[in-house]
Amino acid sequence: MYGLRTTVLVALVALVALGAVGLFVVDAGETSPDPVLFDDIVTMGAPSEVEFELAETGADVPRVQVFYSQYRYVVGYYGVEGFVSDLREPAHEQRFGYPLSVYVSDFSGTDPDLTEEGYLQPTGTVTWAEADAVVYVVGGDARTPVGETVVPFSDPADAEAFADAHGGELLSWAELLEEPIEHDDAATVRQRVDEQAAAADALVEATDDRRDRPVSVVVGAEGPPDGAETTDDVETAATIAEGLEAAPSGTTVLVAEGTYRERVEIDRPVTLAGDGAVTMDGEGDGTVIELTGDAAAVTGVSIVGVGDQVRIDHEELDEEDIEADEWDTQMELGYGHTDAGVTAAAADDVLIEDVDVETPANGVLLRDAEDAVVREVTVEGAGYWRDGYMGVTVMRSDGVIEGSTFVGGRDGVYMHRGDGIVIRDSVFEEGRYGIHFMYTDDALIADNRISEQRDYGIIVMTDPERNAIVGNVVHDAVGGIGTGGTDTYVADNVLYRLDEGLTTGTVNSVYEGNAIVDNEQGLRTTTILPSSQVSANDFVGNEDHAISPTGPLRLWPGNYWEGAIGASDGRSLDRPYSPTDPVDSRLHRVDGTPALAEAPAIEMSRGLAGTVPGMRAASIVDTRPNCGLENPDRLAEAGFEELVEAHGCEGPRSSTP
Amino acid sequence: MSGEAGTGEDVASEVTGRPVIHDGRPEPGTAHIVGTIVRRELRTVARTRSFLLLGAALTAVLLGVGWLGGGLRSGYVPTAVDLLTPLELLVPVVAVAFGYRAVLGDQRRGELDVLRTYPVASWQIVAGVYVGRAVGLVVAVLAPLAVVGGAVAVVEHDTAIIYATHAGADSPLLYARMVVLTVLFALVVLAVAIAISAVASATRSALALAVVALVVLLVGADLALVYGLSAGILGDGSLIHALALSPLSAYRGLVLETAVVVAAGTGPQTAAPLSSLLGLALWWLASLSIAAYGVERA
Amino acid sequence: MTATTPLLEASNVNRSYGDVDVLEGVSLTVDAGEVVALIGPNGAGKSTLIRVLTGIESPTAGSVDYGGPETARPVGYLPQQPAFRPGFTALETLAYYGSLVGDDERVAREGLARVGLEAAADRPVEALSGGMTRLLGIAQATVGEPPVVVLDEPGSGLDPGMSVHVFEVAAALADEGRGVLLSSHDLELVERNADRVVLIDGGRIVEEGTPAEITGRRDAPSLLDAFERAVAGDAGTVRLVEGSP
Repeated sequence: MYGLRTTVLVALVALVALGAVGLFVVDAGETSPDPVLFDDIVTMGAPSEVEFELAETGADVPRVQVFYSQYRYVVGYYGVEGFVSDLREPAHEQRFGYPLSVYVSDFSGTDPDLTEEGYLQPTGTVTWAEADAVVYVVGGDARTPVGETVVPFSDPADAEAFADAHGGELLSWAELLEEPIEHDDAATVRQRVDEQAAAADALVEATDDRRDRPVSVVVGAEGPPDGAETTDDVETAATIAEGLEAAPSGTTVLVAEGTYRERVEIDRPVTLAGDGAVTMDGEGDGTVIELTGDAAAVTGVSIVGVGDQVRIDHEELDEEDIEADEWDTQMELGYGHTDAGVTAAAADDVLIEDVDVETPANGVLLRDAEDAVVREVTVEGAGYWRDGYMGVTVMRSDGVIEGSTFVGGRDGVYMHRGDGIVIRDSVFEEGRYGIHFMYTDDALIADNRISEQRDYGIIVMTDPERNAIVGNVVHDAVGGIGTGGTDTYVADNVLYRLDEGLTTGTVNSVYEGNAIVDNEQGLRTTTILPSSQVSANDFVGNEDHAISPTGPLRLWPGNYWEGAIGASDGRSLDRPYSPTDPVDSRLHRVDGTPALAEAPAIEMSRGLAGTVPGMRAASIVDTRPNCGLENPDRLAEAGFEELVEAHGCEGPRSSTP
Repeated sequence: MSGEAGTGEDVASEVTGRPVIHDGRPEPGTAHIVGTIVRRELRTVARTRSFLLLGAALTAVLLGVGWLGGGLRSGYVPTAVDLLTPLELLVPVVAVAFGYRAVLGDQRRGELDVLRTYPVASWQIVAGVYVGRAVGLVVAVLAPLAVVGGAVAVVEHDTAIIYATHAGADSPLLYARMVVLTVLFALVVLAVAIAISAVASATRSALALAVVALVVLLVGADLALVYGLSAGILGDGSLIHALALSPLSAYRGLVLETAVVVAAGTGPQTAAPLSSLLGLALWWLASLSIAAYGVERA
Repeated sequence: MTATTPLLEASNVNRSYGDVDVLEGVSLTVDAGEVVALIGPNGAGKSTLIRVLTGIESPTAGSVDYGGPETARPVGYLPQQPAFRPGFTALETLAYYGSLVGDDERVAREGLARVGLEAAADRPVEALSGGMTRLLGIAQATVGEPPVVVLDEPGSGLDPGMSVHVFEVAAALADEGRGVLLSSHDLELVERNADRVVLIDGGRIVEEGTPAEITGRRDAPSLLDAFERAVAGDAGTVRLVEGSP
């Protein structure tokens, strides 16, 4: 009886032991999920306009979908190179784990041709193939809207044929991973900021030639004022329009004090300059000054009586002038042809300086105007934002907007494809958005002061690339800075008294040196990809310092969080801080939490919390919080001297000197 | 029914016959003896309410930690990570609670002395006590971990559904690995606890010894490793094997290596699995040997 | 009594703890069918002798030989303060010990019956009275039908009636053909029940024989008087063995 029972027992134990051993023999890492529909997945990179352009041209981009070991979402890339360069990021594996499966677009059997832009045009359906079972054509003529691209083929013969036709060499997956790939990331953008500022300085300096043109015509006066530089033969005119008519290229039409009820066009490199209090009144109809010639300029004028038409019908589009692609026709109609104080249309190198505009529509409209300089302009829009429009609308234009003031109306600056534009040292008050990004890459937004907006101070829409938002102060609005896109650099901004200080809706971006003070929500994450770096920011006095409603755990080392506790080494605290933790998040405002936070149960549960962040539920952890403010100077400059006193590494100090 | 039972009846009927030297009866086999002791220990475990309470408390703590650390919502591997540190602290406590009085109590009551007049070897006592308590301990450790694992299955996946998701390297399998390793760890610590119990019986130094041994086990070994590393006694190359000397570090290393790193990706190796297993096995064997020696001397 | 070898024979047993000699040159036998009573003042070494005879402790010098038949449990033992693991019934406890020598529960029930505990079979051991616990201990001491049964003060702390019962049980064991060795302070009961008495004092045997022989030799009306004479001057005090501090 015992014998049987013992045998059964021993067999059972052996079976359990065998099963336990089996757990370790089975390879747990080797799950290979099947590819999923690309439309369903979270994508890295690719600004919105790329998708629109592709959809329009019928072209295709080689795509990648990756199943990471730690990350629940399947991640998609437009362009194999984006994935390869991400893999090389030092923190990438910590955030996402390693790739369990990688699939790439397989162009085999689609006999792809190239469009004139170099975009791939496959015939038939592009399927998915495992990345390591594919041959890549590298360095050929194939391009995507964002640059050169690698083309994958599962059949080497197809790859060879493609390389013969369009150049490039064949690499295996392993070789491709070793291949140097140029990619401008947020760090590149950080380096670019100074260069871009210097380039803007140069652009502004170069406007001297437009400012210093000799006076050839005087309007509303007997002759030029004493000391004015003039042409040999100075004419006089009764109206500005007459004056402009008469002025030769490269000269200035000087307008004497007074109010002029007229609307004019400058179609040559001529400068319209007010001398004293010059007001132009459009009498409520249309645009007052239209710059249609390169290097046209207007300075020293106040503009009133701007028309209130903002949207035009499709029939009114002058097809020849318009470079709009089909996908953004609606934007063209809605924003590109409004009435404005000054419009520069298809005119490069214009200068608009020292111009005040009172307008129910736009203050300034730049349409297809390269290297435009808008300086010291004041736009006073409608009191209620729905009644007004933009301070400056930028349509497919670039250049510099600086030293200007925008009050009321809808948006201070609205940009549609304003790649590379610089907006700086300007003041934005009482609008909807201060600065509004649409389809705009590589812009620099620096040192602006934005307040009392009905929505965000700076809002970045349509997922652009490589924008820099630096040194701005935004306060007393619904939102501070709402970001989006890829490889964005958001630094040194001061954001206070906002419902929502900063949103990090970007991937692969850098947020550093920002001071986020006295907001309802200091920072909110809006992407589910935890790929951005957030460090050296100050969080003080916010109801919630930072929240993360979606995505996995984010590791943001090296920020200052008011309320964070721990022993200080003069720079960092030894205890991690989690602004999303129910106890930590109350440390700075609920008495008793500092004691509760030190409870062993809590300490114990956060012991190894930093591991496998990609698998963790939405939260934020700073693994080495700063013991004091990171940006005291910027805060002092913004009027927070007292705060600077109280938040050093030495801890709160008494107010006695 | 065995033949020996008949002699009992003979005794009853032979009240007057004297002197009667009975035929000797054979000693039962080892399996029978150990089995007898195991059953007694099992009954003890089953009848001791505080063990049930201990299991319930462990379940509550582990669930609490899983919830507090966010592991429950995140998946099996994060949960395993969250539980690792608490388990390192609590499993020894539970194991010691299960094992500490096992031998000592018998010794205090004089039952060990009585057992010497039975055909029972010291090692059989140790084996029986160990196996019996081990079954209880395994249940007390497995059940809470199973509850937590079940909770993960129910609670996780709060992710937005609009995007395609997958489990990644997260899998109940990895959690199960952690559970198996935790059970192994518990079994090793139980052996240590039984050894403490037996040695305490022999030396009559009782509780102080248990506390000292527990502290050595919990922090001493790891502190020694850290000291060894900083003092240069341990070479950088040998640390990964020296880790196996501390049961805690061996356990931690094994869990990280086999259940967490699999999901997290590469990095410095966290443990040498074979060395760690060997280290645990040595602790186990040495402890049980010491326990047998302690019972022998008690 | 008979020419057969004694069931248990101690020859020249010494037992010391460090510098302290507790037993010196003790030799005695236990034969089948006899009740041997071990008497002596407190601290004389009775318990130590019993532990050596049962094999719980080894002698420092000399030997203890078992001369009975080959069996699973040659010597049964009742400790001075029998105690059992709480949480088990009397029956379970006895069945546990029985199982160690291959008995089943029915035998355990009989063992309980023999000491008169059948009514308490299902009572937890921690709920047994002192006397019942001792009876259970005696039942335990006879588990496996050991040819030799050693009882360390089986009657101590019991009411007179219970003490008498315990001695009767011991006598019955001897009647079954076992050799019984017990220690006791109740000399009246010893005188009435023991076949042979061994008086030990200071770790040595100072008297040995039937009660009648001893009272005769010491010219005492009773065993108690004989005892008092043998350990004269020390009666009423705890005797410390030589060499102790």
